[in-house]
Amino acid sequence: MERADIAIEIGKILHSVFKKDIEIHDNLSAKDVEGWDSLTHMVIITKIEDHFSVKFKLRDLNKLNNMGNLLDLVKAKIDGI
Amino acid sequence: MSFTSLSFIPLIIAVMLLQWVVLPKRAFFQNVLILVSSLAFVALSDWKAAILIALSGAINFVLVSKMHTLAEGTVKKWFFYFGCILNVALLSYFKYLHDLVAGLQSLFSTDTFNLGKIYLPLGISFFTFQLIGYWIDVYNEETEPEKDLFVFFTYLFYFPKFVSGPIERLQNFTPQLKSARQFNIPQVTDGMRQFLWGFFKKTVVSAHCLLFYKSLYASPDSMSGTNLLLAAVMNGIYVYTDFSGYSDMACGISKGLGIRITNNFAFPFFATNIGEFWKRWHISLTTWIMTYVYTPIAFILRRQKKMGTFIAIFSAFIIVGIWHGLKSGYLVYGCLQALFFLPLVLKGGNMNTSAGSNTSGIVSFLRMLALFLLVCITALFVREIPASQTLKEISALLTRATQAPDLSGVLGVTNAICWALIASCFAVEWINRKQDHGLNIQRLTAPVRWSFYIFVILAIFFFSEFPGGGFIYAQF
Amino acid sequence: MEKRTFILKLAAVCSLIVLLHVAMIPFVDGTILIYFHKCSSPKQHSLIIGASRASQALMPSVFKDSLGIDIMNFAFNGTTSPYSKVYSHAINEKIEDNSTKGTFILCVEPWSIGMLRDSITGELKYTEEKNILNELCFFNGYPNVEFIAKDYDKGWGNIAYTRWRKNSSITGHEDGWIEVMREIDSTDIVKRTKGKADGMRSSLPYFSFSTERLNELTQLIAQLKKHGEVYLVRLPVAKGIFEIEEELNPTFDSLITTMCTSYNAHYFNMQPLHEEMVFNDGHHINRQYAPKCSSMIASWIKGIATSEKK
Repeated sequence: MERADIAIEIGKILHSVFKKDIEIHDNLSAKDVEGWDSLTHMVIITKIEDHFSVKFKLRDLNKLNNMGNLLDLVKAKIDGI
Repeated sequence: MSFTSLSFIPLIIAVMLLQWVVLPKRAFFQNVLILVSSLAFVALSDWKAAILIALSGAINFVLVSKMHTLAEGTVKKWFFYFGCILNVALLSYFKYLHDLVAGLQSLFSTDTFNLGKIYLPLGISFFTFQLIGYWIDVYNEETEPEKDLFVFFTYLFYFPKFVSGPIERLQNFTPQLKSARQFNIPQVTDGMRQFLWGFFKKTVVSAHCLLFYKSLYASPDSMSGTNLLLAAVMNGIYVYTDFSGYSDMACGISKGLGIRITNNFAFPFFATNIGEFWKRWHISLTTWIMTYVYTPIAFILRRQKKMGTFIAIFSAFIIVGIWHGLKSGYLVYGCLQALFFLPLVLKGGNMNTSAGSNTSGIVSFLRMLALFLLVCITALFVREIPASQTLKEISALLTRATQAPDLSGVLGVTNAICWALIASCFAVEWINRKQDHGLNIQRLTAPVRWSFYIFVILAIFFFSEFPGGGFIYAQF
Repeated sequence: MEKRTFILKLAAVCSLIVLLHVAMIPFVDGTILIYFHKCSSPKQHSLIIGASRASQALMPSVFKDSLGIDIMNFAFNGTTSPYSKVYSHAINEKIEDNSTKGTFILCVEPWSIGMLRDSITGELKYTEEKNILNELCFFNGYPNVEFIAKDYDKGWGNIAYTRWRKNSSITGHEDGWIEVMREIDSTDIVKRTKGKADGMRSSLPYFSFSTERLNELTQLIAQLKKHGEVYLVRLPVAKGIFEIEEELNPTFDSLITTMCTSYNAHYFNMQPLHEEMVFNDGHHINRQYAPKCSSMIASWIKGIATSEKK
């Protein structure tokens, strides 16, 4: 799956969580979205795992600073890296 | 030594003069100054703690560096566990052993072991949590281990945060030591404002609330419900202004030295729900708990959805309770905070913890007031009193709610002054609620700013009290 | 803002704050800080030494009229001035260096040569180490700004307000005498005496005679003998309080008597005269009886001086 496609899918997931459109770009971070906190974060991560049939490790998540990192991580998981 | 003691004033003036006037503007000299003054501050306050932290710091420094060199695998994992357990054991010995033994003896009605008083090193909870966080961050490769022992010691001993926090992550602090700090007038001025505001909260508002609380609390067994509620409110405001006052002073001093540390409070009494409250109260502790306790547990239990979230929250707040101590009151406090989150968890959806943006002013105000009273009542558990006694008081608050209040202890000039001081404190913080501290008034015109300064300085001049006893959170 | 402007503004604000504080100094007196005058006077050649009983019972003005001596009451209270290194240091700082003809009245009681222990750990509590005498570097000279800074525990603006209110119930006079404005009310006295006695009785298990304190007293007497005559006085207390003190230290009298003999000091046990006094709370003599008590001691001293001349 291409990175851009992953971005679109993640956009849909965020829409389902926040009930509004969130523009996906590499520098987007949790601070930029009202209501994206530690509690919401777990919901989003779980939905991403289910949607892409991947499994994250805690260590992977701790290194995520922005959307760009998340897109790269998801792509790596899908590609089996 | 505390920030409000007479002996602190010459120390901080000397440090500021040395840093900005005398010494060359190079990181090396500035860092030496910070480390030496921090060591002096800690040693003058509690020399035994200084030695303990130096030893503990050196051992942790070496062990973390060693762990980092190990290859991924079982050995590294067990090395990591060992490091964390070592620090937890140290904290447990000094802080929890006495209460644990006393609690077990009480449970089994025995008096076999009498440990007596165990010395509690100053700042032990704060520096232990910092070290455990450091171990975890290096193990998870979120940061490289610090290679410079001198910088590491400066981080551990840094005097503005030593006594009562904030719990600062190494990677947020040490980069600021790598380059020379420049004299930045707006930052130094803002630091002075914040220090002044913290000084006002601690020596004026907190001191008067404590006196008012003690006068109300003369005979708790016969107090009316109203008086008990009032005592709870005074205690809640006392704890807030004492701790946030200290935090403001710590941040202010630090800004004066060109270093930024975490602001521990963001006007928590203006929150409209418990989630928002905990994002604004003792921020560095809750951030630590969320990062190292809640997130891992919530992640492991993420498939259990709401149940998993709740277990993670419960675990997090039990740790918050235990962080204060092993007494029954603290444990009940932690459990209650977790229970207050239950409605939020059950609500599900996007767990929007900043709810209230679409509600009207009056509804927001009522929510704020209700939350404020709830927080004050539960804060009664964070006292050196058994939970059973606090529970009796809270139940009396309800059962004696209709009893006529005793106004003799409430009215009067002294208490009117206390009310006026509390009102002015909250009014100023409300005006500046969107800023990083209560007296961040740079945006206002000069005459208005100077009016604020004159008010605060005169309030300190006429109404401050220095009864001794330091800061409430120094005991943790 | 320029750095220079910033520094000038800061200096101006700090100077104003300092000036505000300095302006309060003339308002400080014995109603604001009851021990202020004790530490703001010049050095002395004669002193009254002891705890709170001595601070309230002995009036320097009476000794001046009766014996013609200028004496300062340098007694504080049981937690600030038990016989200790801290108190001895303060006393030595207070005495004129080369004086040899002084008069020193030391009030002694079982509590001032006893030591409190922590009820849990059993650790000895050197209460004087946490009080003002242990923090001061300067004990003489008006105004003792160090004393104000270290003893006054409120914002200094409160000094002017307190002077304006003029409702202090305790006054520390310039000669060091502490006057407690309490009228003689028998019901109040009974209640207070019982309260004090109950408090003393409950502290008995944790209070014991201290050889360390006795040694300090002994050394103090030896030191004071170089500067003049030393008189030890056991002030009277109410019967119930005396019984508690006898429990605390039944050999107190003989101890003091022996010590005085060794050091050629004089001892006046006033307990037999307790019925001639009125106490606010069983052990602090009411201010209206302080002249009588002081007069009795002055007569005793005069008697000794007369018999020694013979």
